[in-house]
Amino acid sequence: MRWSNGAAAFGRVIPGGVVLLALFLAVATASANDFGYPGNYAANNYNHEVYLSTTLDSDLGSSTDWVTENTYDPHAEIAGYITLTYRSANDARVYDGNYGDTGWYAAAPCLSGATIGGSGQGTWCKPRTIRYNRGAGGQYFDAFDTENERRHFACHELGHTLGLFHYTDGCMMESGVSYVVGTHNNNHLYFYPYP
Amino acid sequence: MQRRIDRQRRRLFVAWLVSTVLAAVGCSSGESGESTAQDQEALWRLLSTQGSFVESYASIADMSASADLVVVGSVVRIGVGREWGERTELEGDENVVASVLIEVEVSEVLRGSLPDPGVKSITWEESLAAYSAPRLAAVIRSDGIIVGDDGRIAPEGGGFAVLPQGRGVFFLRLRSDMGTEITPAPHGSSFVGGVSYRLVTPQGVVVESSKGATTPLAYAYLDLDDSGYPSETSSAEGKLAAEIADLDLDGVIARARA
Repeated sequence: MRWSNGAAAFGRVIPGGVVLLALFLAVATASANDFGYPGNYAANNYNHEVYLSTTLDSDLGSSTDWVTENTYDPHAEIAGYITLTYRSANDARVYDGNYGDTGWYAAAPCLSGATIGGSGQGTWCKPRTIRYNRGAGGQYFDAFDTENERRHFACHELGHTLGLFHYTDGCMMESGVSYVVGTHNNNHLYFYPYP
Repeated sequence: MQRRIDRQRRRLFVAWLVSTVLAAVGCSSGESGESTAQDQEALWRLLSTQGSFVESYASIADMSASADLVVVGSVVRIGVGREWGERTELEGDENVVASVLIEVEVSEVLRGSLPDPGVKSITWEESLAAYSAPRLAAVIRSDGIIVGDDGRIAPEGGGFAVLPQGRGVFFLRLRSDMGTEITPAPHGSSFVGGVSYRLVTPQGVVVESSKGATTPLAYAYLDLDDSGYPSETSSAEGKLAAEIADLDLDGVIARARA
């Protein structure tokens, strides 16, 4: 009798339990991967196709290529690769130019009109652009003087295209010349499931 | 540790519920043309970007001391500005960066002096990495900003108009690029005193929120909770975000003035 009652009670609890479990898993997944933006998936579809513009300076192209292949592609959940083909499958499109006194050396915004993704900046979208602001002279031009500096900016902006935020280690620091992903952000990349 | 994780999960779940409700409210307001809390974020979403910034400060006092001009004011008008970059046949205008011209009506000068002492306003000019001028023009109208409820360009005939209401504190750097653009600002655009300013950093605009003071553009690249407090406070950006999150706008003004 007790078993029967227990089974009946169990049966009553199960549906609610399943709902609670599903809710917990949904919240747990979100908290692991969204950096506070619900529904924001970053390493979107495993492949991360990086398009280099036909007008991109060769040294910046080379640094972006190096970071894609050596910093991100070795990651178990990212297949990063370079393409020279401009197409809708591009996850990130890389440009450089003299964009004036912008306040940023490089930026990685969602393209206006991006057709896939969440809402607004800081969320999953495709394609994003990476812009290296290599001004005509002065501090914006000098910022890209060395290979390490160019790799740092490539690592930082590609990290943004994968959904990473600024942090206190690795190339997502607000300054420095690191071109490796720090432990904190590396763990976030591991947590990202793709939708 | 587990309790902290649980708290974070609860907080994120509540944030998700709140954002879902706000999004629903925003959608409905977009159809009716009414202004809501969600609408107030539209300009900040347009201006938000992720990137590597030229300047960084660990405190309000440092940011204020470095700025060319610090004012208290409110946004009264926006329009399409200049363009930089280049167009190509293959990529169209994707490698073109436009600026948005934002007129800020100044109620108090905390540092520096206005470019035209006879005019109580300044031209705040931010470069938008994702927009050429035609793309930006599609979201701007003379009476405000036209965006969809997702913060991106509204579909033809859709969207709603709104500008942020209330006071803000603006920490500004005199732009050094007048004349370097490939396309000048459209006829009729005016730069007050013949100059324009950018924010010293995206954290250089602080506005009132229901929880006190907030830096709306920092959410794009810092891991902040729903009250604007950062997950780490050892970087300069984290320290500044934490200081602002602990204050109301009058507190920020007091520290900027000191």
